[in-house]
Amino acid sequence: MSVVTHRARVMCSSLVIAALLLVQPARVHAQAGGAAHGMDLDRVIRTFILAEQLEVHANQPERPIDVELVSWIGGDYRRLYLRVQGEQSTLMSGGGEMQGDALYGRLITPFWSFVAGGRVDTRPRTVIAPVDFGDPSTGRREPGGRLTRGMLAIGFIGLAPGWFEVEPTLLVSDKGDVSLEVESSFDLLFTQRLIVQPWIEVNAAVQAVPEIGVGSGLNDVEIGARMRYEIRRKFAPYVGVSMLRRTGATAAMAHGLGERRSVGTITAGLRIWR
Amino acid sequence: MERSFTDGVVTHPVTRRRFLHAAGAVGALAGLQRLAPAYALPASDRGAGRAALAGVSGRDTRVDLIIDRTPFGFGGRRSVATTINGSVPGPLLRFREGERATIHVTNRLREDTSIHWHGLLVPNAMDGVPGVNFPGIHPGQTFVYDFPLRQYGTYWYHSHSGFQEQLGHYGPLIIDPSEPEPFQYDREYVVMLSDWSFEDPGKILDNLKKQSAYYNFQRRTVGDFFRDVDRNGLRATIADRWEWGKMRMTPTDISDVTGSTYTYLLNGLPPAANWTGLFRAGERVRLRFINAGAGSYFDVRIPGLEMTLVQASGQHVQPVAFDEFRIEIAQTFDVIVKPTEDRAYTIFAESMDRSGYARGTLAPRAGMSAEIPRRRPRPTLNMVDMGMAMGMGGHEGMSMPGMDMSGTGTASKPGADASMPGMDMPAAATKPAAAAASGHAGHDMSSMPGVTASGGAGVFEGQLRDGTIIRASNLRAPGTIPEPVMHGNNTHGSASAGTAMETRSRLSEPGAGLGEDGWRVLVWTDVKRLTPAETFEPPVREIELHLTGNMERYMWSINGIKFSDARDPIPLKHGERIRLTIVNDTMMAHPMHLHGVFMELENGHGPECPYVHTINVKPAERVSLLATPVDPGPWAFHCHVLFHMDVGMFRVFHVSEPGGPMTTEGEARS
Ligand SMILES: [Cu+2]
Repeated sequence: MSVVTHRARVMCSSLVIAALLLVQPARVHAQAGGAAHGMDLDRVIRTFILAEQLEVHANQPERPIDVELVSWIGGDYRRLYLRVQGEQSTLMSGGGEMQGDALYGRLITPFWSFVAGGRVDTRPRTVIAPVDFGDPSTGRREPGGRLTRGMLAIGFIGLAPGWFEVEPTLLVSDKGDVSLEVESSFDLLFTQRLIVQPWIEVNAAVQAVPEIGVGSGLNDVEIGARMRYEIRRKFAPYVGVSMLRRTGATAAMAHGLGERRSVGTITAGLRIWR
Repeated sequence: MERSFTDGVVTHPVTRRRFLHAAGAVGALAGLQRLAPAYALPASDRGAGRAALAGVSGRDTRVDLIIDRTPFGFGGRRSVATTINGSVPGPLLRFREGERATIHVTNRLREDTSIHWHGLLVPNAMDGVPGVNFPGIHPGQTFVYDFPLRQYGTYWYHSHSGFQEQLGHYGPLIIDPSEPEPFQYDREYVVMLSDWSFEDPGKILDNLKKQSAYYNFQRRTVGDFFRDVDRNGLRATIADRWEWGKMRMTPTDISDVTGSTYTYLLNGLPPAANWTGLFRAGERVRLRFINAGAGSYFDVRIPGLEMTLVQASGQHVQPVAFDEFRIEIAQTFDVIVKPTEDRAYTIFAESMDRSGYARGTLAPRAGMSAEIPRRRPRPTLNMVDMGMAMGMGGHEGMSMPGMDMSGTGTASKPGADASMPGMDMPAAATKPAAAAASGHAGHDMSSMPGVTASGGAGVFEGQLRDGTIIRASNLRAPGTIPEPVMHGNNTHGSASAGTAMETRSRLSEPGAGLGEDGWRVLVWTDVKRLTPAETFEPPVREIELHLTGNMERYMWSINGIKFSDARDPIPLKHGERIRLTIVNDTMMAHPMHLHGVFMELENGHGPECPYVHTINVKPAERVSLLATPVDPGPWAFHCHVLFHMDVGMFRVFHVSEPGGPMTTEGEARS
């Protein structure tokens, strides 16, 4: 893949993100036709788009851009959630990974929605060529193109006591591989606009999926914190740090591929919503 | 009283004189003064004494009101307001009790409009709530309101369509009594408080729906945490944070739209414009306070002056003196002040959450101003506001007054079998909540005891499909304050975050952030009607409604069900004496307003209970009101926080025809 097409891809995805953020939500004004107080206004369908992360990993050799979008469309009780997470190197073509979730969510208690739907996951395939049979840590990387998986997803989106935003998701791939991811974050107000957001993400898998370097059991734990300044509620630049720690077989595989067990990242980015 | 029609608002929105004034004005206020109604013009332009308050009258005059969009702004910022005859607030309408009002309202907007006469007892078709009383006034149409004036007092009027009220569509309304008033004064002014935003109100609501704390810039910070540790110790501070965190609520949740987007107005003018009312030292000045805010409660004081309340909700009360009062949204309080010194006094109306203020001046001469008080620190809610029971030590006796249904059987209860839905609180009240949670509001409550009662079967009790509890026996004496009640373990479903554990009367409390400054604050238990009722009938039924909300999604509802999911009206019988008990299961205050009837606030004064059209219900409060609905038809009942009403804190009560059956469905929605 040439550098030109790669650049085009980075630009295209940036444009898509920009378009999503700029799209005009439906006017919520009560218009002519009898919309009266309390009659139809309480059924308005709204569109929410949050670019939770639009960031550059400043200290990584490939200077990847990382994007995390959360959006929903719907009313008070039922919403369609779309979550997109992606990473793409800005220096090298190829590689990159992307996950997209489309979930139907329903408010089941005041603070929790049950969600169910699907995920598309695409990332570079890594083929472990075992040198010492049975020990993935002695493998070596072979080029393998991309692996795209369809997955069923069910889970919750909610707010736990103590103001923790929590999103546990159980995933079942088209091959029957079962995995679990849990994300949680918390807002700590230093001032009304300077907000530190510690977060944690935990991944675990029932079956190993060597093609993408995932072992069974606990895969990794990533903790981080972003410090944002809400210039406006909807527009907040931030800086962040995070530490990814791979564990068990996943760590062993990564090690075999020449990757580190622990990866520290420094980021700078924007949090935007509308 | 002398009336002047020179204001000419009848057909020409802008009089020559006002136009000339505006043309000659300079500076940032030029545009404003052209928009300001007569009573808000600079003092020198207004004439003196009572003539200053001459408004548009219905007598011998056809009153024309034109609803239009007009450029509006101040402080260098411009926007477009929804205006009445070109001004914000609209013109003062002034009538006399016993007259007939004939008001032609022409809609020049591109959307429907309406006018509701807040607090006025009018025939149903004249009440002006689109979808409830009439279809609304379509673009280009003129609707003629025509009704007798059956009462006296200070009131106001406003749009009941969309977000127009937030955009300036409101104005004062005075009805002079046919009998002499029991108090004297030398001058009078309307003091209409309101809130203005340069943001589109639809956008404000959208922001709240996506982040309910969007406008709250007074949340607790890390710094507050350490300050509290210093003050109360680490343990207590952590316990306090956990108590709130557990409920996922915040004690700074006082107002959801705040001074971060609102500018608070007095007679349509921002604080910098300094509306001024003139007086001569020693005169008695009557101030007709009206809270026309779409989302703001105001704490009002005039440093250096004692205020004496003479009317509340437009009705005479026994005079009571104080230094500060909180005016709920949509309320009117008439006070008399007697400035004796030849100096200026600031009318200071601080928003309840302290995020801003409206301000005006009483002065012997135009152009004066007095010191503007410093804003106090923002108040915080406490555990009582969360409905945490205070003296809960197993006092079962006090827990459910009026709820022990042991010796029933006298009242007719068709369909109410042994189970008596709704009467054994904890179990039954959970039902509609669960139904709401599943999105099928109350479809399983098919029994609806009593609702199907045919005409004449006057008294029924049970629970409506939307969870409204109706009791008909063992009602406590009229005029008394409700006892504290434990809520039980039931909730109101996913629309209600955190049901108050215990609710009680809080009419004797000034409210969050008030009463701590060492001066006298008006509370509702101070207010008594001037003339005690000659016959003070006990209620035959009690209707209990729970105000519910989920701040996380900015959902507001009644009994956990928002209006569009609760299409059945609550039936009332013509001429029956009812008690309306409103229970606040949320952490915010809600100013509740019932159209079409005056309510008697049960504040413990028996036959001296004051009349109200709107009553603030504090967090975890239980308020009871008596009413005898007479005018048949569907009547709106709602929270007067515009955005709370818009997202579902709204119901319709349907008063039956004299001698006719109670209406249970359909009609209210036309
Ligand atoms: Cu409300």
